[in-house]
Amino acid sequence: MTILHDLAVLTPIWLLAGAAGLILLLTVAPGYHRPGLEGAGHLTFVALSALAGATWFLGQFDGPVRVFSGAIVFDGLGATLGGVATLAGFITILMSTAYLQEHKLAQGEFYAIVLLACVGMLIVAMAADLLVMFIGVEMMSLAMYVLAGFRRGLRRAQEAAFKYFVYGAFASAFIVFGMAQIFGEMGRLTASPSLDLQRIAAAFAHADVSAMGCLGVAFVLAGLLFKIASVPFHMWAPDVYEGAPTPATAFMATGIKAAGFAGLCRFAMATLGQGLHGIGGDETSVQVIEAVAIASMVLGNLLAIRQVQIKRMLAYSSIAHAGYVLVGVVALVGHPERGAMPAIAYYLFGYAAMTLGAFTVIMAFERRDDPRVDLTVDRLAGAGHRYPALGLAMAVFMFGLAGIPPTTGFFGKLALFTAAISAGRPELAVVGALTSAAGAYYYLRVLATLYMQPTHGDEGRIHSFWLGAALWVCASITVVAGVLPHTYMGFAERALASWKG
Amino acid sequence: MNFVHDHLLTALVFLPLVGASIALAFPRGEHTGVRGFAMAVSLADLALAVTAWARFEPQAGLQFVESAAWVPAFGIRYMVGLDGIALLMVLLTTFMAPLVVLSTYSSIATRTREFMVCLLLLQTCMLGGFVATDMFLFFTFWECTLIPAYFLIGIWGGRRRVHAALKFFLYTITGSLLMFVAIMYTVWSVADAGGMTFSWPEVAERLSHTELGDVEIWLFLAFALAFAIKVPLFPLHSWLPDAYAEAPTPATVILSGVLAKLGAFGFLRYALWLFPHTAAAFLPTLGILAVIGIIYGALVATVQFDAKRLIAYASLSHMGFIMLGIVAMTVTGLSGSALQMVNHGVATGALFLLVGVIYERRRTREMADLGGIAQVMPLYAATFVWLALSTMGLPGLAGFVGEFLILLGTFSSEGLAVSSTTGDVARAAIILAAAVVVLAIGILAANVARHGSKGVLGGSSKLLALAVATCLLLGLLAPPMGPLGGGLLVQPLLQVADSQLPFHEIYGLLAMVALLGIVLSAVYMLQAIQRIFFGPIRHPENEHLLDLSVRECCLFAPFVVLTVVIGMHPQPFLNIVQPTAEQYTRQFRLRAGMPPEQAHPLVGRADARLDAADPQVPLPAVRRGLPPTGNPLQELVAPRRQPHLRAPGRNQ
Repeated sequence: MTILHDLAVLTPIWLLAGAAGLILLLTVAPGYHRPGLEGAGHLTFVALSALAGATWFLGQFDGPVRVFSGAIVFDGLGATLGGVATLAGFITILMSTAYLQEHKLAQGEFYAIVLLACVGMLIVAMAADLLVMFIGVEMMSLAMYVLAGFRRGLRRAQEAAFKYFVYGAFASAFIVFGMAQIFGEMGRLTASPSLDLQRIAAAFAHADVSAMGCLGVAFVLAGLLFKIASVPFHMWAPDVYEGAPTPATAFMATGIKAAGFAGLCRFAMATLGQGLHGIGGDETSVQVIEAVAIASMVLGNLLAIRQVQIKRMLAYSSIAHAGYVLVGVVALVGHPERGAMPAIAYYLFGYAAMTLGAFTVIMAFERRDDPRVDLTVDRLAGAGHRYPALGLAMAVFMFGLAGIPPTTGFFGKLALFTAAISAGRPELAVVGALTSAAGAYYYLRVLATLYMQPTHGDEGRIHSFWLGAALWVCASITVVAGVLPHTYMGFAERALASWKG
Repeated sequence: MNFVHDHLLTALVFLPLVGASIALAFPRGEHTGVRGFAMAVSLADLALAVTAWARFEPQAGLQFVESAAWVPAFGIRYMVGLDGIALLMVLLTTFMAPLVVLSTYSSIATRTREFMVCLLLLQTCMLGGFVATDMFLFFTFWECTLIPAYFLIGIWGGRRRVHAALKFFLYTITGSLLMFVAIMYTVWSVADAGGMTFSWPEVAERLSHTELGDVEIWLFLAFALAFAIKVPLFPLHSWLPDAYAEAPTPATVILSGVLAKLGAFGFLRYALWLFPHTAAAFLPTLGILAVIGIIYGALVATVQFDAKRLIAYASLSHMGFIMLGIVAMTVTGLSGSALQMVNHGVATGALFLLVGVIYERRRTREMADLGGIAQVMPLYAATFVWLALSTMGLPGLAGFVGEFLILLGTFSSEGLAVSSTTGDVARAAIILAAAVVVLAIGILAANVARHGSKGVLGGSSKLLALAVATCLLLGLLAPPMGPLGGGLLVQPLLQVADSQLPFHEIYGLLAMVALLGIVLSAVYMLQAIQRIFFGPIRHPENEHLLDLSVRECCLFAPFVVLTVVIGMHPQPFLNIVQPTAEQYTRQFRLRAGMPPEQAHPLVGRADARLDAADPQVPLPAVRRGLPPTGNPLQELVAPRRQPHLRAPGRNQ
C-alpha cells in the first residue's frame, strides 16, 4: 500500500492541517462564546500539541524518503528547516495567546491560520517539484496576508496587508512565469519536460541552457528572494512588519524565512549548483547571489541604525540576517560538501529563537489601552529595571542577534563564515564581520534604553503564563544551543549528511 | 576537594560565575549581604589562584592542562592551561577582585546586586581569557567580557555613560569581529586530514610549516588590530578617556587594571606567536606606535584638569611601555612587560580608587577644586604620593623594576630587515607612523600654545609643556648629526625607507624616546600632586574633609605593600615569568628567522644555550624542562654599577 506509506511520511502535514480544521470547528461549536473566550485554552492546547507533534516527527528523521512519485521528499532539508518553521509556529502560538486576549482578537482563526501557514511552509521545505513548491509558497503567503491584516480596525494593519498582498502577488507571478520558462527550456533539452528539481538539475548540468532558461531561473530566484526579504526585494518588510500584529510579525520574520530558505537552497542547488552554462558559467550566477548577500547585510544593518520604531528596526535587522544566511547559500552552491547546509540550518534555528524572543518582549509592552500604537525604542526607557525578567531576556536576544558569545547568534556566524571561507570567499566573511559591528550599534541601543535611561513612568505590560513560557523557550534555546552548539548542530549534520540538493 | 585539585583552572574560572548566579538570588535592593557574598567568592578565587601559584613549576611549560571535546564537528575543545605569564595575570586578576569589591562599599549605592553579578561575570570572562588555550574558547571569553563591561559602564557610570559604553563596545567589537574572521581563516587554512582544530599550540605548530603567502599579513593585522584596540595602542585609544572617565571607579579599576592586560597578553600569545614571520617585520612599527602612545599619553596627561582623566592618559602612556617590552622580543623586555602589567594594574588601579575616594567626599574630580588637602587628609596624601611615585618609576618601588627591565630589553633588541612584500608593507607602515607622530606632536604643541595664550594653564606647567614640545620639534626637524643625533625620529625613519638603517638602531631610538616618557610621567604626576595636595586650602569645603577610614586603609594597604614587595624583591614574580618569557622569545626568533637574542654584555647569558634550542619543539604546550636561567636580579643590579646607556647597535 504505497499510498498509505506516502501518507504516513507526511504525518506532520496531516497533523497540522487536521488541527487547523479541528480548531475552526471548535470555534463554531456550541458553548464556545467568542467574546468570553472560555474555549480559548483548548484551542491553544490543540494548536500547541499539533505543532509539538509535527516538530517531534521532523526531529525523528532518518534517511530521505520520496513520496507521491517523487513530488515530495522528506529529507534532511525538510527535517531541519521544516522543523525550524514548526518550532516558530509553536512559539508564535505560545506568545500570541496573551496578545490576542489583550487586544480582543479572535483566537481560533489566528491559530488555524498559523497552523495552515505551517502546512505551507512544510510543503515548501519538502517540495521536490517546482509546482509543489509553488503551491506551498502560495499557501503560506495567503495565510500570512490574512495574519498581516488581522487587526482589521487599524489603518496601518490594512495598509500592511494590502501592501504585502500586492507585492506578494507580484512575487508569485514572477515564480510562475519563471517556472513556465524553465518548463519550456526543459522541453528543449529533454524528451519529457517536467518541473522535477532532480530532472532540472540533471538536464541543466549537461547542456547549454538558453537565455530563456536563465531568465526563468532568475525569475524564480527573485520570487524566493522576495519571500525571505533580501535586498533588493525588501521594500515591503518594514511596513508590513510594523502593521502586522506582533506575533504575526515574529512568525513572518522566522517561519517564512526558514521555509523560503529551504526553497531557495533546493532551487539554487538544482540550477546554479550544477553550473548554468548559458550565463557565463556558475561563477556569474553565484556572484549575483553574493552581491545580494552583501547588499542585504550592508543596507539592512545601516538602515536599521536610523529606525526609531522598534518593529521597523527589527524588520531591517531581519533583512540583514537574510544577508548572513545568503552567505551560507553562496558557500552551499559553490561547495555543498563543506558543511554550508548545516550552518544555514543552525543559523536559522538560532535566529528564529532570538527573533521570536525579541518580538515576545516587545509584545509584552503593547498594551491595549495605550493610545500610542507604535512602540518606539524610547518607550522602553528604564523597563529593564522595572521588569528584570523581561529585561534580562531582551539582553539575551539582543546580544544574540548582535553575535556576541555565548549565544546561537555567535556560533551561527562562526559556522556560516567558516563555510564561506572554506568555499574560497573570505571577503563575504569580512563584510559579514564589519556589518555585524554596525549591527551591534542598534541592538545595544535597545539595551541602553532598557537599562541606562531614566524611566518615564510605568505603562504596565501584558503578563501571562504562556508569554513567560515563550520567553523561556527562546532564551534557553539561544543560550543552550550557543554554549553547546552540537546539540542542534549534530542533528543538522546527521540529517544533512547525505543531502545533495 | 578532589575535583578542585584535578580541575584547578576550571574551578578558578567558573567559581565567580557560580557566585554570580547565586548572587542573583539575593533580594532586590539588598546591599550588605550581597557585597559580603561577592567578597567571599572573590577571596575564595584568590585562594585558588594562590594554590595554583604554589603548585606551579616555572620550568614546566603549560600546566594544569585540561582538555575535553566541546564542538567535535569544528574541532573545538575546552582547553585550559597555565604558563608563567598567564599565571601572573591570573594572580593579578584575583588580587584585584576582592579589593574592587571592598571599594564598592562606598562607591556603589544603587543596584548593588546587579553590580556584583556583572563584576563576578567579568571576572570569570577575564580569567577564562587568560587560561584558555583553545582559540575559540579564548575568543568566547574575550567577547563575553564586553557584556558585563558594557553594563558596568552604562548603568553605574557618570553623566555621559551611555555614549562611553557604546563607544567602548563598538570599538572593541569591530576589532574582535575581524579577528574572528581571521581566526576562522587561520584554522581553516591549517585544517588537515584530521580536521579542524582551534587549539592554540596545535595551530601554531601547523602554521610553522604552512605557507600562507600574502594573506598572512592580513591575518596578522586583523589579530593585531583587535588586541591593539583593547590595550589600547595609539592611535586606537580614543575610546579610553571616555570609558575610563565615565565608568564607575570599581569598573575603571578592572578595565585599566586587568582588561587592558588581556589585550597585551593576547597580542603576545596570539598575534605575535601565530604569525612570527610577519610579526617580526611589523615589530618596529608596533614599537613606534607604543612609543608614540607613551609620549602622547604623557603629554595629554600634563594638560588635564580632571584627575581621573589624568590617570586615564597616564595609563595609556604606561601601557605603551608594556607593548614596547613585548615587541622588543627579548627575555628581559618580555619579563619586564609581564611584571609591568602587574605593576600597572596595581598602581594605576589604586590611583583610580584614590581619585574615587576624593570624588565620594567632594563630588568633583577637578584638580582646581582641590588644593592643599594634604593638611586635612595626610594619610590619603601619603598613599597617593606613594603610589604615584611607584608609577613614575622611583627606584625601590614596583614601577621602576618593570620599566627598567623593559627599557633594558628594548636597548638590547635587534630585529631583522625583511626583504619581501611583508617587509615593504612594514616599511610603509613605519613611514606612516612617523608621519603620524610628527602630526600628533605638532597638534599638541599648537594646543598647548593656544591654551597657554588663554592663560588657562598655570605659568610653570605652561613653560614646561612648551619646553617639552619644543624639544621634540627640534628633535624632529633639526639637521642630522651622525646616525642618531638630530632629526631624532624622521631622519632614521627615512633611512629605514631606503633600507639603510638596520632595525636594531630603531630599538635604541625607541628606548631613548621612551625614557623621555618616564621624565614626562614625573612632570604630570608631580604637577598633579602639587595641585591636589599642596599649597593653601583655597576652597572652604575642603577644610573638613575626612581622612581615610579604616576600611579605606584596609583597601589601600595591599596596594602599598605590593608596590614595595615587587620593588624590593621582584624575584618570586620574575621566577614565574622568566622561563616562559625565554621560551616565547627563543621560539619566536627561531620561527621568525630572526637572529637569536644576542648575549647581553651586562647579563651573562650564553649564546650556546640559544643555539642548542631544538627547533622541532617550538611550543610551550610541550612539557619539558628548560635549562636554569641566569639570575634575573643580576639584570637589575648590574646595570646600576655600569654606564648602561651604551649606544645601540654597538654590539652588532
